[in-house]
Amino acid sequence: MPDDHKDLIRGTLDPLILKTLSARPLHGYGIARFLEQESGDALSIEEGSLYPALYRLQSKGWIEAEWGRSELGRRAKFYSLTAAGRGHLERETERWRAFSRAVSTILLAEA
Amino acid sequence: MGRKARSPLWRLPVAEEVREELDFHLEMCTRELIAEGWSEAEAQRRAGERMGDLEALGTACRRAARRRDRRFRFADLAAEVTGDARFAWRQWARRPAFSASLVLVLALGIAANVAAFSLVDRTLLVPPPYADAGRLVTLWEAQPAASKAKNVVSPANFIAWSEEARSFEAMTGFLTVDATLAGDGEPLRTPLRYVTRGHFQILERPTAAGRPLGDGDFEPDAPGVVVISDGLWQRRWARSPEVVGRTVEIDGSEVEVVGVMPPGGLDMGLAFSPYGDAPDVWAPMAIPEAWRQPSGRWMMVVARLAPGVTAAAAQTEMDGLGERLRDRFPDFNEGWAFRVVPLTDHLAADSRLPLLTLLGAVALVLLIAGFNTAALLLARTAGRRDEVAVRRALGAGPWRLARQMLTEGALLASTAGAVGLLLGGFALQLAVPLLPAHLAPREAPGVGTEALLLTALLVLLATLLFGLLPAAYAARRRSGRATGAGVVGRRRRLLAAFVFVETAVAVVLLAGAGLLLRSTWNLLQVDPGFDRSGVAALSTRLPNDAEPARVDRTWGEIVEQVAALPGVEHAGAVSNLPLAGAGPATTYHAGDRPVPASADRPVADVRVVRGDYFRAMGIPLVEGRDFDRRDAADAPAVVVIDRAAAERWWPGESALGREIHVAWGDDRPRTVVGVVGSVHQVDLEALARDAVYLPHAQEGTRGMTLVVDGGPDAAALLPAVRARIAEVDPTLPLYDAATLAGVVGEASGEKRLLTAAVSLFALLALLLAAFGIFSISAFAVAERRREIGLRMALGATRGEIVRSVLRPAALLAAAALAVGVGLALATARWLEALLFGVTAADPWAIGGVVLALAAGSLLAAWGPARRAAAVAPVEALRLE
Repeated sequence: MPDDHKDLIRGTLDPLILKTLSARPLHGYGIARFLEQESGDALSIEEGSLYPALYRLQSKGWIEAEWGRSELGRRAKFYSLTAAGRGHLERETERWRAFSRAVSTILLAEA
Repeated sequence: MGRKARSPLWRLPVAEEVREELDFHLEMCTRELIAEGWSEAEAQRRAGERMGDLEALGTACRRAARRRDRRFRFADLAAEVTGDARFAWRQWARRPAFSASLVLVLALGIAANVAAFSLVDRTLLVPPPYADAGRLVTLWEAQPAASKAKNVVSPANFIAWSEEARSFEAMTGFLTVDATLAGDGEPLRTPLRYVTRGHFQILERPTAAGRPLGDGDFEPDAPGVVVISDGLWQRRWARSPEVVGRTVEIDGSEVEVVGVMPPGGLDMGLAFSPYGDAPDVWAPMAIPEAWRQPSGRWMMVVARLAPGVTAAAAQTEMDGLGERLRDRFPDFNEGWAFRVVPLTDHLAADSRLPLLTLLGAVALVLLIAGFNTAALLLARTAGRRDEVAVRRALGAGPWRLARQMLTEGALLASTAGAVGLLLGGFALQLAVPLLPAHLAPREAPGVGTEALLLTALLVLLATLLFGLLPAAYAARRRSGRATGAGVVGRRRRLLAAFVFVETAVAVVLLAGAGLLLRSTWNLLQVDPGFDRSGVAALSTRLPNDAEPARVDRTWGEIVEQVAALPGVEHAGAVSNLPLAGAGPATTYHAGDRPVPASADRPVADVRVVRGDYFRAMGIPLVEGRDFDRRDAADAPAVVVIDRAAAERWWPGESALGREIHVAWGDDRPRTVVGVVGSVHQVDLEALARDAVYLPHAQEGTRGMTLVVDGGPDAAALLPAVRARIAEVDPTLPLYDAATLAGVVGEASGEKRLLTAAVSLFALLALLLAAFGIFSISAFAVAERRREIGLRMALGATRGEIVRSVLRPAALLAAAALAVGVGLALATARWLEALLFGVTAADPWAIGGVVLALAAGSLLAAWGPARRAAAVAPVEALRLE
């Protein structure tokens, strides 16, 4: 089980998924691998929790799904970012930037 | 939201979708772990571990997926509905004239119904403004033998009812008279209502200021107090709250104002009294012991039913009481019965028939409008055949097509509903000021909730009609054989049926309008027995405490002075102007003939006259002389009777010098000195009763109407007449200035208004019916273009072609006429009470309808027939 400090802050999984899909359509497994590699294992995501999130994002209209063929020729469901999802991602990124700047200003200030 | 995500092509059942996705993940993960060197079994175990609790995960995913699908379905529906609406809008916008005429036809129908229904709702359905009004009843005496259903009540009977009847919680009697109010401004004639104890408590209408009359006010030595109306408060004191506690002078006595009634007061539409108007002042009337002995009948009575007692039960008790009271006062009550009439019924009695007639007429117009628009739509589905076929070929199912058509219908119907509501509200504002008082709504007119509900219902019905009709036809047609001749034939038959119904209903309306027009025409031809042109009238009155000598002297001077005015040919005065409302009437009999039993004694209108009344009114003197100076107060009692009275008692003989007994004050014999022509005193439609005229000098009536015959410009004399009266006595109130032409016009006003309204609707119906015949003819010509071309190529003449178009139109009109006239004859019985001088089967009215409809339908079919005749044979063959 992951250590405490590796837990995701609540609500950050959604923007991470959107960010992952902003480059190219991916299937769920691909998204999990990408997040693992990019974060350098700094963030631990329970891979199962990815899937309910994908359905939720679909119903919000931020991503859409389509059946396609995986690299190995197996049938897989590919997710891609919609225009609405892109807009949402931009807003979330901006919010994160402001939030992290504020937290950093306080936490990293010389005492 | 992308359509791709929702496309049904990729959609698997949710459980399968989730399982396949998770399986793929596990498989990929396992494969990767094997590549890293793990054994297959170990790789599978680790992959599963990384996923967490698989079962819980599957459940969570399926729930999320189902939520997603529900949301998509809703979004799909919303998108489809907006898409349908947009498409519908484009459909209607493509043919703006067609769509606008559909909306307009329907909107007119709805507007008429909204207006008429609001009127009926406010006048017939809204209860009067009294607490628990359903328990209020009016009580009347009735003379069944003389078919008098509602007669005012004798105080003796009233006292017996209130002491002995158990059906009523309480009972109040009242009488409205004219009084003169002085102080704080010009002398004012005010209708004053004397009421018995408990009047305000029975009606339970709170005062707007001050207090109502209480029991203490009815004690013999109580100080004089009155309650005033909102109208008087406004006119006289500009709604100043200080009026409560103020002392005013009414007919010479000082009384204190203790309360003010709210608008609408306690009038109850019970203004009926020999003296007219709704009261402005209420004063207490104590009941003296002497009233236990029966004398005249003059009281109106309202009662509140005891809890749980119905009007019918009260009537049963009153029937029993009637028998007891006939035994107690055999002379007085013989031939009389007592009647209980719920207040709401009494109030609606005069307005129900005209209002329901109006409502019936507008409902018929709406029916016609509905069939008309349906026929137009049906004809149009022909034009949409290709579009429907294409949409079918693209995979639109019948339900999808039906929904599209329903959306189009809803758009059309709701637009028509909105326009109709607006127009209806507008029409109502225009119409209400034109209505006679008893038809006008009791409260501020407006489109109420009920009318809104009615509109919603009409819109819903119209939507179904407009949507389902074309949808049914679209669904029936298979895309492959869109032009099947059978379908076209069936549609043409249905179209013909619609136009037939529409035309037949229009005939009913036209016939009703024709009968009403004939009635109004007859009414305008009625000779009321007096000369209506060039006569002006003005009323004034002396206070009730003026002694007889002063009344005689003052009225003598007024009539003399006014007669001397330049431009005045004759001047006289009368106690009640003909056709200006009800007036007193009583029984009478000849002195030299056997006295009929009291129930059979004829009733005569009693009028008191002074000066040159008969000559000013142009009422001819048939025999004998007019009243003159000889007929003074102390001279022998004399009377002038009308021709009907003379012929009743002394047919073929002279009435001069005979004596009659009139139940009017004392019963002394009066000698007939003259006979004059009969006059319509109260009803333009009938010479209801004999008339007896008494000389003013012997009667001393205080309130009279001055009548001035002054040529075509009589009304212009009124300012001079006012000035003369003020010179005689400046304290006299002047009121009810009028011309006789105006009075007679008002007497027929309701009928003329109703006739105008129904005629307008009938005209609309005729236009719609003609439009229907036009569209069915045009449709037939369009459908038969090839056939016509072929026939022309084969040598048919233009005349033959024209006839072939006109013939079905004429047949349809004739069939509709036959059925419509039959229906009209059957329903006209219902109108009979509104008719005057015509029967339901009036040949002129029916002839007029036949002519109007025949001309209308031939004109309507003429255009399409000409177009058919203009079809070139070659062009027709080129089609398709």
